[in-house]
Order: sequence, then C-alpha cells, then structure tokens
Amino acid sequence: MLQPWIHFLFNWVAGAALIGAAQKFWPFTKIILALIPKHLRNGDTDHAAMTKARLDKRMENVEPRPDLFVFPSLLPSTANHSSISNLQRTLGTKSGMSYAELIETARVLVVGGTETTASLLSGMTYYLLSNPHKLHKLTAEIRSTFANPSSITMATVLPLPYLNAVINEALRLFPPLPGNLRRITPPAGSYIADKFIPGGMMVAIDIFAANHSASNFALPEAFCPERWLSNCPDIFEDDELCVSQAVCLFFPYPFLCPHSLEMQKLIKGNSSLGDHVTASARTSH
Amino acid sequence: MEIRLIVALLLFYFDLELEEESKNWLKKVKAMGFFVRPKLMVKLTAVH
Repeated sequence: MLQPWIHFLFNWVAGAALIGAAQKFWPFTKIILALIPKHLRNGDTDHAAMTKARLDKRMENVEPRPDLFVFPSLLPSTANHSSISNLQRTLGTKSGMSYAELIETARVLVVGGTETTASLLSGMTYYLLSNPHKLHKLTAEIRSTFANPSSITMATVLPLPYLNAVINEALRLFPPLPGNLRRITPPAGSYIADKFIPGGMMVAIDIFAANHSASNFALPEAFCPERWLSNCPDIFEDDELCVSQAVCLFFPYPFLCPHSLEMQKLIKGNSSLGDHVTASARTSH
Repeated sequence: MEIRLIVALLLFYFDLELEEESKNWLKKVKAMGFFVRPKLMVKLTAVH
C-alpha cells in the first residue's frame, strides 16, 4: 500500500509530464488539457497541500532534530544546533527565504529524497533477481565482508566494489528520473557538445535514451555491473561510462542532492540503519 | 546514498527470490516522469 503522499507525488509528476506535453501542441493546449484526467491535473495542488501541512508542523517544532531545515548545523563549524535555525530566523526577511520559496523547495526535496530511492531499489532488485549469478556475486561480497550486521554502516559499505558497480548499473538501466530535466541556455547562448546553442533555448538530454544507447554502452540492455569495475571485461572497454554520470552532471542544481547531505550526516554519526531496514523488510513488499 | 546500506543489510539477512507473478515486472513499468511501478513480489528467506 503506497503512502497517500507518494500516491499524490505520482499524480503530480505524471500530471506534469502530460501538461508539459500538452503545452508543446499550442494552440490545441487547452483542448488536450481538458482530456487529462482530473486526479492527475489536481496532483499539483494535492502535493502542495501535503507539503504545506508537513512543513508547518516542522516549523512549529521548537526543538527539531537536525535536518535540512537546520542546514548550517550540518557544517562542522556550527556544531551547536540552536533550536531555531538560521532559516527560521531569517524567514520572510530580505536576506532570507520567503515562505513561498520554502514550500517550493520542500516540494522538490520531498521528490528528490523519497521516491527516487524507492524506484531505484525496485529496479535494482528486479535486475538482480533476474540475473541470479550477479545476485550471488553481490551476496557473497557482502556476507564475506561483514561478520555481523552491526559492522554494516554507511562508512563500511562505501568501498565495496561490486555493490557500487551494481548501484551504478541499476542507475544506468533504471534511472529514477528517466525523462529529461530541462534547462534554459543563458542569454548569450552557450556551447553544448561543441554546438552553439542560442540564448533562451530549452535544452535537455533524454536520460533513459542516453543510458540505453548502443552507441554509449556494449550490450546496452544487459545488466552487467562488471562494466563499472576498474578491471572490466574487454567487451566493455569502450563503454562511455561518463554518459551515465555526465547526465547527472548536466543537471546540477546549485545545491547538493539531499541524499548526499543525509549521507554525510549518517557517515559522521557512524550510525547503522540496521534495525530500521530489517523492520521494513518484514513489513513491506 | 542509503541505498548501499539498505542493499547490504537486505542481502546480509535474506536470500531473495523473484516470485513467478513478477517475472515480467519490467514490461509492466510505465515511465511518466517517474517510473510508475506495479508491485514487485519477492520471496525473502531469513538466513541469519
């Protein structure tokens, strides 16, 4: 059973995809919009309402645990978490964020921090289970590295080569955002892939197509984590591994991905999610 | 990413097997901004 919010999130993104497509068919946009199911068109307002409710609850919390909304506390220099963050103190002032900006930011963070992980995890699980010998290899790496679950932490799983290869390969075949994230070229125009693009143009790379293209990867549809290993089989030698990564680089936000922030926090605290994960593995499908 | 941690712990504790009904899972996935996914049914056997 999906959490209602995740359900709204799907509606929001699916709605946005359809509305975006409809906008390309001007002057028929209005007619096409009318054909989009109402629950998808309402996804945006539903998601906004859910975000607002959570955000208000979070802002009213006088003693919040450290999180993205207490951003400066993640930096080592400001180790003391005051109960009111800089963000809250400057909210609505000239130098701070406005409430509207805060909501918009929270909306994006929710998408970036939840559904993407769940999506990649399902894709990776499917690919691993459909390729039993790769699953076996990964299981062997994990069980031979760790004698007990308490030694499995953010820091200790980081260097595992095959685990990293599996994640990279899953990201390639099943990118959590398979479409494209659009950007607008600066007014003066810019060079992209050696071609001059005039200013004010909308540009995007189709992530799924780039990652599944035979011109970038040998055996593009096959789940082969080996291509990511430093001593990869010869057949993968010409793989353009940077494509899969370049796509991420092409869409940099001026902020760190919420995951990397969460990760830094977790590594620092050297915390283990063991109990949490085993509990949810028993209850979820 | 916490994915590393989740996968490591999952595989440490369980043997995983794809259920028959999910053998064609990928064919039922739709891409609409996100991947819209049907349930992925997996059999977990505890080893620890």
